[in-house]
Formats: sequence, C-alpha cells, structure tokens
Amino acid sequence: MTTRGASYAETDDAVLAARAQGDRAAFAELYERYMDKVYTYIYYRTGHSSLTEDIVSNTFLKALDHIGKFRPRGGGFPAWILRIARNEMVDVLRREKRQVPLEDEWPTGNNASPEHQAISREENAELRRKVEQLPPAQKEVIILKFSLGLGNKEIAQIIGKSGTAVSSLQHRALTTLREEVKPL
Amino acid sequence: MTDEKNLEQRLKSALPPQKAPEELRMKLRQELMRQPQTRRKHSGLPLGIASIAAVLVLGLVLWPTLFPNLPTLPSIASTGPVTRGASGGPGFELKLVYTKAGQLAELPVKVDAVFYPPVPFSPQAVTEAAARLGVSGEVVTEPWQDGQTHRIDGPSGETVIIFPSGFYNYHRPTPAEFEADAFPSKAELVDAAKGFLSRLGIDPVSAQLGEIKVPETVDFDTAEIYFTPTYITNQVSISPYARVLVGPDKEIYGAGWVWPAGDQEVNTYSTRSIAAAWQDVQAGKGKLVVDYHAITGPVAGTVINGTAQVTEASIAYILTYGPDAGVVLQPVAAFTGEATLEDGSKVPFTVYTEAVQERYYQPK
Repeated sequence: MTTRGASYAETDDAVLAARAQGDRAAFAELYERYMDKVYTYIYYRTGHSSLTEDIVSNTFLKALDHIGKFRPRGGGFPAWILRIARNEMVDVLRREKRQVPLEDEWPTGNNASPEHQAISREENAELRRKVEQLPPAQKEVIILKFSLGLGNKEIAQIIGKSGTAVSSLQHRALTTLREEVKPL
Repeated sequence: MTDEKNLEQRLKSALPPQKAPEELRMKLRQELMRQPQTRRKHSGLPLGIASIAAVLVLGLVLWPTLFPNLPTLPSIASTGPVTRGASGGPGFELKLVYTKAGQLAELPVKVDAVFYPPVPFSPQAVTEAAARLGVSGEVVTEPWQDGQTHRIDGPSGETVIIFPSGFYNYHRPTPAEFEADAFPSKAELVDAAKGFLSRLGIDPVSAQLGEIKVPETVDFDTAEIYFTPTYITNQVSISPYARVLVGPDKEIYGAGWVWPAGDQEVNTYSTRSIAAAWQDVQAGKGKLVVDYHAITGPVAGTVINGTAQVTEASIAYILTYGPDAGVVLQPVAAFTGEATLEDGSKVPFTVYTEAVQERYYQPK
C-alpha cells in the first residue's frame, strides 16, 4: 500500500526529520518508512499483537512530540525511533509488571520470500524457540540483526551498549544457537 | 555455505520482517495527523489531507477482504431510552450544551461486542420461568403495545409475565400485615435476593450488587435490591439487570429481570476516533443518561436548559437488540461529567454515542 507523499519519497531521513518539526507530511513519510520496522521489533520482543499495537502507537506519538530533539548522528533515525520504542516497551512491561512470554507460534512470515518458504515451518519454529530461550540481551541483538537487518552501530545506539558489546552478544548467541540447532 | 552463514540465513528465514496491520497503520496515521502542531506549514496541509484520503479510500476497498465476517451492530440511533426514571417520560426535555474540560483520551483501538441468542420470547419460556418459581397455570397471551405478552397466573395470585424484549416480571401478593415490625439487615435482604436469583437460574456470583432501597417502615411492603452482571464493565443502560423485592419476612414478593443467557459470541471491532464521537455529541446525536429523579420540579415549561461539562470519555456498554431479535451487548463511546441546569442545580450525566467505525453498524 503506497501512502507516502510523492514529493518526499526520495528525501533523506535527516532532512525529513528536520522538516517534520513543522510539516506533518514529512513526519508521515518517516512513519511510513519505519512503521513496519518498529512493529517487527516490538512484536518479536513481546510476542503479543495487542501489546505491540499499543507500544507502536505510543512510540510514534512520542516521536512526534520529540522530533525537534532528533539529531542525525549515531544510528540515524532508525536507531532513534527504535530506541524510543524500546524505552516505551520497557515502561509498559514494567508498569504492567508483566513477564510476556512469546506466543507459541511466532509469525511464520506472510511476507517471506520463496527462499524463506523453502525452509520448513517446523525448522523455523524450532529455531525461533531457541532464540526465545536466549538471554534477553542476546535475543534482542539477534532480532535487531536478523529480522530488522541493522548493523552493529545502530544496534548499539538502540540498546545503549558499545559496538564491541553488541558483537560479543551476537557471537555468544550464535554460538549457543549453533550448538543447539541441528544443521540442515 | 559455512555453518555460520547457514545459521545466519536460517535466522533471517525464521524471523522475517512483519508488516503492521493495515487497520493499525490507518488509525495511527490519522491520529498523528490530528495531533496539534505549533508550526504547521501551509504546504504540508494539502499533502496530509491527500494522504489521509488515499489511506481511507484504499482502506475501504480492502476492508471486506481483510475483515469479511463481522456481524453488524444495531445503530445507536435506533435504540430506546436507557435513562432511569424516563420510561414513562420525565414530563420535560433536558437540553444541554456540551463542553469538555480538557483533552479527552482516545478510545482503545479495539473493543468487544457480545452477541447472545435471540430473546426466548414464547409461551414455553414463561412456563419454564414460572416453574422455577413454583408457579403453574395456563399461559395467557395478550396484546401489548405493538406486540404481545405471555402470562401465567398461579392459584395464589402469583403472576409471571414475559415481554418481547426478554423482560420478565414476577409478582405475588403480600400478606395483609407483616408479623415483623422492621426490615432485616441489608445483608439478610441481599442474601434473600441472591437466593431468588439462583431460583431463576442466575448464578449469584455473576451478579453485582447495585442499589439497595429499604423503606423506613414495613408499611411500604418491600425493599428493592438491584443487580447487574459482573462481567459488564461500565454499563450505562439499565438492562441487563435484576430487581428483587424482598419483604420484612425475607420472602420475595416481586421481581423484574432482563438477563441475557445462552451461548455467547464475542466479536472485536475497531473503534473510531474520540474526536468523531465527540462531534456526534456536540451535534445532539448522543443519548443522554441522567437520573431524572434527581431533577426536582416543578418545571416551568417543557424544556430545561443547561450546560454539561465532560470530564472523561471511555468505553461503556448498552444492551441492544438486532433485527433478528438477537441480543447484543455493544460498546459505546461514553462521555461523563456534571451538568449545570438553569436553576443552578447540578446533576451527573453520561451521554453516549457510537464507538466503533461506521461500517459496522446496521443502516440507520
């Protein structure tokens, strides 16, 4: 579904963010660009659709309130908006005192490419269960890295750790997964 | 492919990017566009409106595919009054001008509506209800308004009636004089009333205690105990409810009840914006709920004017009836606050209007 304003489709994030302080259409373009990423991140972290929708909504409303504070450095706008989402998620979970278990059935990828579909549902489910069992920090890095395709620098900005720490978390997670998941 | 690359590829497959639901995308986009902005540029306005229109048009086209099977809800406009004390008409009209004290919170993104089987309005239904109360007799069907009622008269003057709305009424004569010279405690009265609910087949655990009216003397025969279902949060319609009349001797001498039962079907609907609901209220399309008993007369004319300040908005529930006589516990957008009438008196009020998106309602 294409909803973005054509005049902003090719505009850089940083320019959009600067304009978004006074131009709602510019913010709408950023929203269209990053809505799915925020949704993906929160959904994999909470495993609950309704909770995800609440957190995503609050994230963009907060981002709109604070867009004037955005500075184009570090991981750029993706890191900034995902960090807001992360903080919002932590607040919500703490407020509700919820330990949110992931749903038994994580999304199987309606938008999966043919290559994705070639790997069986059962094997994916097993791998997702193993990811779910990882320590929270490792799991978060895996989701940001492989589901959102972010680089270590952006991930470091989002989770508030150094790039080295991110590399270490990723390495430990992959080592654990490699040992526990049977090779194809 | 190395083990490392293989595993990374499998992780990408196992954790594919997700697409936010279109419904959420549309609603949030509209919300973002509605947020106040201190430095809006004129050039941004047409683009924003065009984007919203595009989203709405495309959303309407896609909607039947995305959400094909949700049953429609009775339109609020077609529902009758739900105000306590207004069943026979209060004898005057209350005209309020609505304002709000501040920004109102948005409604939840989704709300549930509960669908019950059609009202069991039949001679058999009244026979079964009467049997539970130990009353037996022949069913008499009589015209009533634009329909009819079914009634059973027992040998000792008891009466059980069912109305087309599913409302039951039970009555039995009180003795010429009660032996007791005072009513028992409220707790004892409530226990007696709950026992009666059990006889009706209503689990007392599912009944939330409401108002208790105990007369000062036994000359007034009975105390009144009200119940509503515990499973309804923020109920604004009188129904469903049960009203039980308990004598000083803790016997039950009357009752009225509408209490939907049977297999329920719960459906979840997307809400509309609080701004749209508020526009309805300001346009006079809301349904006002006021305890008319709280307004003292005499009224010098047929209209009482006043102002009503809304302080809170929330989802509430009313009982409505579908075209197939199915009973629906449906959500409404309820605005509550305090009204100041022209004589300076103040009364709490609720005014409600439709909560879910227009496409979900039956044609008005």
